[in-house]
Amino acid sequence: MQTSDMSHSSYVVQQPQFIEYMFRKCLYFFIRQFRNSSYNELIKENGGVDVKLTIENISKKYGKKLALDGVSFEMENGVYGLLGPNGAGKSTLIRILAGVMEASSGEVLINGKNRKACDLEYRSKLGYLPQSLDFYPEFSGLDYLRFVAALKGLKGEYMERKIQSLAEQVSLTQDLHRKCVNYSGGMKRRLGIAQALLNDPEILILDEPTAGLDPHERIKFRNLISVFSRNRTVLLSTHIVSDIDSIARQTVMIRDGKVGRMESSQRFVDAMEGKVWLIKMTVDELVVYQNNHIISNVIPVGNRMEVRVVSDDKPAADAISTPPTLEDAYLYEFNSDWRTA
Amino acid sequence: MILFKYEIKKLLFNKSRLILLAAIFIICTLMGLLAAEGTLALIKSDDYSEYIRLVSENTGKFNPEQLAESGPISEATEAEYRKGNEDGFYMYLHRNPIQKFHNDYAKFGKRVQEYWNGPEYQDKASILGVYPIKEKLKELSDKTDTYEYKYYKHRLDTELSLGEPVFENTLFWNYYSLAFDPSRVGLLLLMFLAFIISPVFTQEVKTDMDSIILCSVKGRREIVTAKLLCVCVVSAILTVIFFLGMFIGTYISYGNLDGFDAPARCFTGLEWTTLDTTVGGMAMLGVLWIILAAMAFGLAITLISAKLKNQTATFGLGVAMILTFALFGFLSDGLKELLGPLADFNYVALSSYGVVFGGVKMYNIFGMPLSYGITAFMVCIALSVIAVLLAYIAQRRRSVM
Repeated sequence: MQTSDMSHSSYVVQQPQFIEYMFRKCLYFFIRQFRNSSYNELIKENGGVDVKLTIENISKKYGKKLALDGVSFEMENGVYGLLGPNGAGKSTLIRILAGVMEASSGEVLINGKNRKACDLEYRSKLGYLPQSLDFYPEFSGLDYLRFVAALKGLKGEYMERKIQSLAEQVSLTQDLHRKCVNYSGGMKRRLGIAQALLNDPEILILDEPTAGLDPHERIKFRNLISVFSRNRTVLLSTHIVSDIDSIARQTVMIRDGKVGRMESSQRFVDAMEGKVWLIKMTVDELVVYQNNHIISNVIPVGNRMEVRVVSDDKPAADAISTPPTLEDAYLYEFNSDWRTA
Repeated sequence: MILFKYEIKKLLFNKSRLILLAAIFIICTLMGLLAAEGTLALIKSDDYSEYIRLVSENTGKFNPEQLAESGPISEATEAEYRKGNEDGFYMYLHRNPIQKFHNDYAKFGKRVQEYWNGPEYQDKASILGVYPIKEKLKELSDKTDTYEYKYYKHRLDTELSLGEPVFENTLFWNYYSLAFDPSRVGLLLLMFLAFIISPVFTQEVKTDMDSIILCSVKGRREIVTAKLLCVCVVSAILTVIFFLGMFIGTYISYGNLDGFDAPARCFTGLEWTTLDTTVGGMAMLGVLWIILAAMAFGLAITLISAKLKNQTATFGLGVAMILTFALFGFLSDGLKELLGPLADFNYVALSSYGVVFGGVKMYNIFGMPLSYGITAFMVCIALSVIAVLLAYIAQRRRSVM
């Protein structure tokens, strides 16, 4: 009798808990559904949300090789350029930021919270274009975008509108129904850019986005990113200095797994004032000269060559000082690599 | 659901895979045709109508008089034409339907004899036949609480409830039973399956889509659910195509479904089955069972695909698994005992319908005799659940290189 009473009382106590549990489950389900359908639209209407991304002492080892060595910097809204020579650790850093590779040590913080602690939220805010990207042979461009949109939790009418709008922005509207494998290199890259933008990401990470794009497409891409980056964080890794020259809020120089200077493009250029020179010389003189100096450009002028030299000191008596560019700064920053090369 | 739609498009519903499916269907149909090739000779034979008359007259309970007539004819025929040449003897019987009838009836008589008295060479660990089991139960009458007593009691009850075998014309089903042969299901169906399923995760590495999937909201869990569901559907579709092809091939050869309602024990390879159903029911159950076994195998391949990053390596490992497990079937009883559950419940053994459901083997589960079929079902489910959980974990921990 006593047992029966006890089980009854515990049942009475558990019943409201169960109802509360089920209520919460249902509530979370509907919140998730609501977020899926309208979260991105809310962001779009409000022009994005402020995001602060902090990279704290990130290191990555491949066996004994140290690919990243205590990398630390912060990013807020705007475009950040990641510049560095091949093998500098750019792609490794980008993969870690995208959450598709684990760092050996260190952490990535989003608005002060560890990325792993808010992994799903972080992924919902992220758009990522990897360095190399191939496509499923059986998918058309439209299939591909719908598939990635589904992966990002987009659905219904909003998804279709978003796909059409992005296809228009990357000039793929006419080719959406063609198989991706038949796309040209530039078209594949544009499709890759479109997929990265599908969820209106607050954090956009692009690894070599302009590789394979013609000059017109590159300018279009630059404008697209420039408009998009308002109230958003964009990290753009590239070898093409002109891609970030005009749109990057700050440029991060990375070499041998370590972050060097992090300045605005203008500050990099300003620091180069008085370090870029034009010298006229013969071809034979140039052959000898280039072994010991940083040369950023050579233009034939009549029988001679007009050589653009990056140097702390005036390299020759007849050298004329000329306004520097970000490319000159890049070469200056990585001059030891350049000389080795 | 959208992810599932695209996963199935990647894995199956695309041009190259549909062509492959059509080729598999044609191969299976041809195999069915070849398996029943003797029937063409049988149907064309002048004595075919006489064969049908004899079978119809003797359908039903055992007739000792008919056995007295068929036995000596069968023995004489075997002595003269068999001589170790099974294929030649098989074709001879089909060209001579009357002798085929006597041969069939003699075999049936032997089966009735075995039902009551057990086979000539009894396995002491698992006695067969109603009378030997009754004898055994008498020996164990003072140990009624033991597993052995419960086992034989259960066996006797089952044998008596199923009753003495009956003679039926199940020619079509006997040919169709070849579709369930372990060499066909194990080596052909599972290999096709390993080939089709192996890219389920590895294709993401090949296309560099891994990064995009892993950094997306649904790239760690929902995509795995879609892929697993897709693998189950593909396994089911491929199994159905396999058996449908064999069915159509056999039907083209013989064109008669007689015997559908006959007791399950008339189904070749299932003479000792303990299931109380019909031949047709047994065939349908067989297809359902192989679908389940194929799903379990498909999920194992999915797990390998999730762990490895190369399609060829995944397929190679799948084939190595199939061949290794197929070899277990040729091992001596001692070695099989040594391997324990691995010999009885590996993926090839689980897909051997006749072995799982055709025998009287029981397992001692907490003192209760549990049939091979039920145990195999539980093992299949357990293996699938383990593969599914490990696939989720693999994707959660996955990173690109």
